Amino acid sequence: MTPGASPQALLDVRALSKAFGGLRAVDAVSLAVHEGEILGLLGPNGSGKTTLFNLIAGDLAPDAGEIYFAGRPITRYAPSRRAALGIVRTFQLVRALLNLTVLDNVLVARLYGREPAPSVSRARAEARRCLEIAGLDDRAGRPAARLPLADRKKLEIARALAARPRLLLLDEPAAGLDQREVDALLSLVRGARAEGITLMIVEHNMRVVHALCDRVVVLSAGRAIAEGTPARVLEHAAVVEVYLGRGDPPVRPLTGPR
Amino acid sequence: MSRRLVLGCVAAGLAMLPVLAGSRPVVEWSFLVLLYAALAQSWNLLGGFGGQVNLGHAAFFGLGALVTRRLWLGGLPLGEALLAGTAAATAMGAVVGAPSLRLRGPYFAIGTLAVAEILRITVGNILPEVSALPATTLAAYALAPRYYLALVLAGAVTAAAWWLTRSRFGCGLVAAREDEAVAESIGVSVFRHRLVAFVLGSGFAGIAGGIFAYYHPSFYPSFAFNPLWTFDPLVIAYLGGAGTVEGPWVGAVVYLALREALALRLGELHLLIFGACFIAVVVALPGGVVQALRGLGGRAARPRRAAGSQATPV
Repeated sequence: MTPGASPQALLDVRALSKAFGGLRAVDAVSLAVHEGEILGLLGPNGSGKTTLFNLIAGDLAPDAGEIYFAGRPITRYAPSRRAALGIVRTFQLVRALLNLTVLDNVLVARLYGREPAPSVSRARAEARRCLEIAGLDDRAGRPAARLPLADRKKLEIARALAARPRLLLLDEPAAGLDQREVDALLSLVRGARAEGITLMIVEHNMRVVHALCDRVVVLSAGRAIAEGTPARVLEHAAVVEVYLGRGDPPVRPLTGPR
Repeated sequence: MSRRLVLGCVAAGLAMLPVLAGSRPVVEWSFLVLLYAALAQSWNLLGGFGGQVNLGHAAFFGLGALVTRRLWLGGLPLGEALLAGTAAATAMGAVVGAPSLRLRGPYFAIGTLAVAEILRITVGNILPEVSALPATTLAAYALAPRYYLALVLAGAVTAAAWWLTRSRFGCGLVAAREDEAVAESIGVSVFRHRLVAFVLGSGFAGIAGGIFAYYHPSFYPSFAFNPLWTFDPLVIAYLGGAGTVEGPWVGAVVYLALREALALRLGELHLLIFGACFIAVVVALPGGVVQALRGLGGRAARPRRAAGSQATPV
């Protein structure tokens, strides 16, 4: 159970790099995700979190470095092949199969992904079950294009869960949600973990990070600069600096101290 | 239930048509409807369900026509000649599809168009002579066999389209059309699905070409590679409703009726009107006639369908 002690990580990222022109979006990042844990990925905007997700999910090819999943090198696998092995992601800017119904969006995931359903009718029944869990069962027949944002975020997760992931990558799942919707999200993610799914989450909402993550890794300018439990890492001076700037303000305030 | 009945009546009517129809032009026109419906449906497999606009469909129609015609006139039985034509078109589909489907959107369209044009020009240069039926063969000409071949083909391609609407593969193909990244993220290999649909559509187009070549009195071999064999089915699919099973049938009837009516009165000018019609459909009725009818019927039918679905678990 102690993170870092297990001999083989579920996901093992070794010295992964990706540059866009002169910008090193991900710069020699190494990290491991262990079976059953929830790993948070923190860092300011532009620090490379989503690029790292894209590299792990296979939407981008790295310039250097290797990715191992359950001991298997997958660095050059297409996203669909990684999904079949159990790496499934959600998108920061929610995406859906817009002209299909909510049910069909989840149905496709149940027909593909890891452990696909043996028949379309079985898949449809199981997809309905996924919608119930996500609280979308009353909207099953609606086109996905007509869902409000909060429901589309639920659909995003329901679709990912229907693909039966071993490792689920959630990219800012709480962004744009209100308190109540965040609570629903938290229970959805906890439910997923209870079923044995390992998670990696990019999130700015510190309440969500504290509530969910066992461990966090902080990225800054494409590099991993800190790692540990959320409470410990957020005390870390370098992290505070990345998020809030240096202790000494470079410009004196206009009004004197009160 | 009623839908099955309608389908049965249409099929029976089409099967009886050559016997019942008194006038030859009616059968000839119906043969064209079937041929175009089959060709449009074969385009529809990737173009409609897969959302990839293939502008090289004529290449496969032409190849099927060319191979079938030469072997058949060379003395091979029609069945074997058709089989060879289909095989050639299918193989060509795999050869063209594998590289071109790695291109996205407009590049795929341009790439396939270029391949078809290269083939057309090459065939025109190598085989510049018109291919005419010998007088003895022409004497044995009968429309009915061609009609039934086209009927069977149109039925078979439509069955393939119908299979797409209810199979795992079809779900994956449609998902890839809606959003490539989402489809890949849940395990759908976008490239592989499109390639299968492309090769399948090419094979069917090849059979359509073979049926066209069978007993067609005379044509230049390069004519079967004319871009019209791409754009007619494309317009028909959009007119009727791309990505629907019924669309190509509705489109073929509407298109050929319009063409018959307009071409007689206006000659070449009818092409202008077709262009305008096509633009009007794409802009105003993106789902084609089928979608428009469904929209009209949907409002009346929805409460009934809801009641029906509650009743089904009995």
